[in-house]
Amino acid sequence: MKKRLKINQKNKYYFTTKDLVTIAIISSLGGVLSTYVGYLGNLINRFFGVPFGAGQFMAGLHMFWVIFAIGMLNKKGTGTFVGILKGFVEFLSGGKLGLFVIILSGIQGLIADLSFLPFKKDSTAGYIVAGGLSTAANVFIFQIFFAPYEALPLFLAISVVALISGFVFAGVFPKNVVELFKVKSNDEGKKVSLKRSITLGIIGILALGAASYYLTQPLGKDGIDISGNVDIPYTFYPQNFRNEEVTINAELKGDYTYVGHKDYNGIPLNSIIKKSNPQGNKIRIIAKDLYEVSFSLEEIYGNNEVIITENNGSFTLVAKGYAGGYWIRDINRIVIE
Amino acid sequence: MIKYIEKESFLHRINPISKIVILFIFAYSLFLFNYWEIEVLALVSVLFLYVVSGIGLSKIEGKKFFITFSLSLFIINVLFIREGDAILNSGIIKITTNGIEFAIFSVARFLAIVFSSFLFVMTTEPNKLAYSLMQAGIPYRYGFTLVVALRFVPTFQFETGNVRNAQAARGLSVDKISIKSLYMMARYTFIPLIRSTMQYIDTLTVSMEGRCFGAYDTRTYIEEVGYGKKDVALLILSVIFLIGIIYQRFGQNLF
Repeated sequence: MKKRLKINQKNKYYFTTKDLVTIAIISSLGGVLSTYVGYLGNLINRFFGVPFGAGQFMAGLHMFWVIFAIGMLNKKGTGTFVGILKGFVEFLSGGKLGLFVIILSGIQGLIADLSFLPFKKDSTAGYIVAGGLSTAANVFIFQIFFAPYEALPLFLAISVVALISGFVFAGVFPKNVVELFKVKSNDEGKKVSLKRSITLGIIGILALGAASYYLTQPLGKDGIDISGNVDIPYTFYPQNFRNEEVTINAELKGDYTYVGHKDYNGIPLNSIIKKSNPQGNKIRIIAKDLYEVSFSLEEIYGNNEVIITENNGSFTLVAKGYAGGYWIRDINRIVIE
Repeated sequence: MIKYIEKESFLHRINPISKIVILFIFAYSLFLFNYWEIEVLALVSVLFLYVVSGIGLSKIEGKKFFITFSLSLFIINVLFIREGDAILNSGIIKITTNGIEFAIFSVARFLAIVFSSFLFVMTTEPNKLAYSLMQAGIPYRYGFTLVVALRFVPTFQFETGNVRNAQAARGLSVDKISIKSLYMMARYTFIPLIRSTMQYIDTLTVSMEGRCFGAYDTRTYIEEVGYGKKDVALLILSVIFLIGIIYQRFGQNLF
């Protein structure tokens, strides 16, 4: 017996056939033009005489297609879809980042989608924020996968360049192009001024920088708060303990990190605790991100090989003979219980 | 341009889904361990696969890019990582053992991922990947977007060439590096291309809807992408390998 197939009703799907074709075509064009964007990036690198980094100035053009598709379709999830599909096109066309480009582009698309959520449909601010954040995310994602955080000033400088590029090439530019191509049912769309947007973008970066500076200030500014079951709570500053500084040679053996034997200078935890005249028997060492480790007071008393070192205002516990998990970084509190 | 190369090697015969899963597992496993020796071993293994699959290392394009990028990545890591035993210490420049190890680690990881991806591309027919994804359960309407996107790559490459040639004929180039000049350069390239692609969207949509695309929940295929015992075996081995390395890496915390 012939099986009868049920024909779906029109508009059953979230993405219509036209939406899917639009997504496919935009992703394809974006994938093809990534080579051209790379060429523009290299042009800038050559201009500045650097091997890479300055090319981030064009990074927004990679995100242009994602933001443009979101603007054309106005449907949630479009950014992620275009991001992944564009990544596949670049990957299968032999893109220089290989498989990684699918992950990178997909995450950037997701960030673009999420960034649009708080804004009204077709809002210029939405375009600029989504373009800026999703573009800057490429630096962050790339750092996570391939490069160290030790080069923090370089990382921040490149992130700011990418953010500005995102504001311009993935924010203002797609907004203006969407206005040009979209058939509007009501009024004509307004063109966004490039100069005004760049000014607003720079003000935004400065405001974000200021806010993050104040929000990330440690509890004990450049020191560690010693509190809990102690007679003398106080804030530890290394400069007050300079004559107690010791040098130990230790080896860090973590589950996945290994640092061979090397010398560390710092103040013994033992000396820091004693000054507070502790009454408890357990020491909790807490980092800014709330990660913590604990020791019994017994094992620390008289042990001068568990020290706190300081590097650019950040405190790290060097615990010779303990597993890597005890080498807690960014300490800002010690609590005695 | 890196593209599919028709051959009869064992890598060509593996089902695209098995191959892409193995590729993801391989890439993920490189991020689980922070030892430069493992990353270098992985890179050497990938290069070995190029040789045994008959593709050959000469097919890797963009060597200049990879040499420049790898050297830059290496130098930046060596200069910025100052922990570890000093090999050279002349005030501003301090080269340490940790810096060199991390630099080798970063470069080897990057190259291992990129070259393994290239190997996948050279041994996998793109449309077969799309069809095998659909046959594996991805809704065909979504899977079809990949087919369409890949179908238009040569067309858009041709059109991009036309637009750039037209710009060159008009004498348009970046005379000075400024936000405005780059913005205008991008605008003069992107807008004509978008304008011409819009017609493809309309034509293709009408054509697809005319053929009742999406009318049924499922679709049929002229050619089934084969999925043999060796594909299943490879997948199982890869998953066992993944479980093994996850246990090795997180074992103490998992159990």
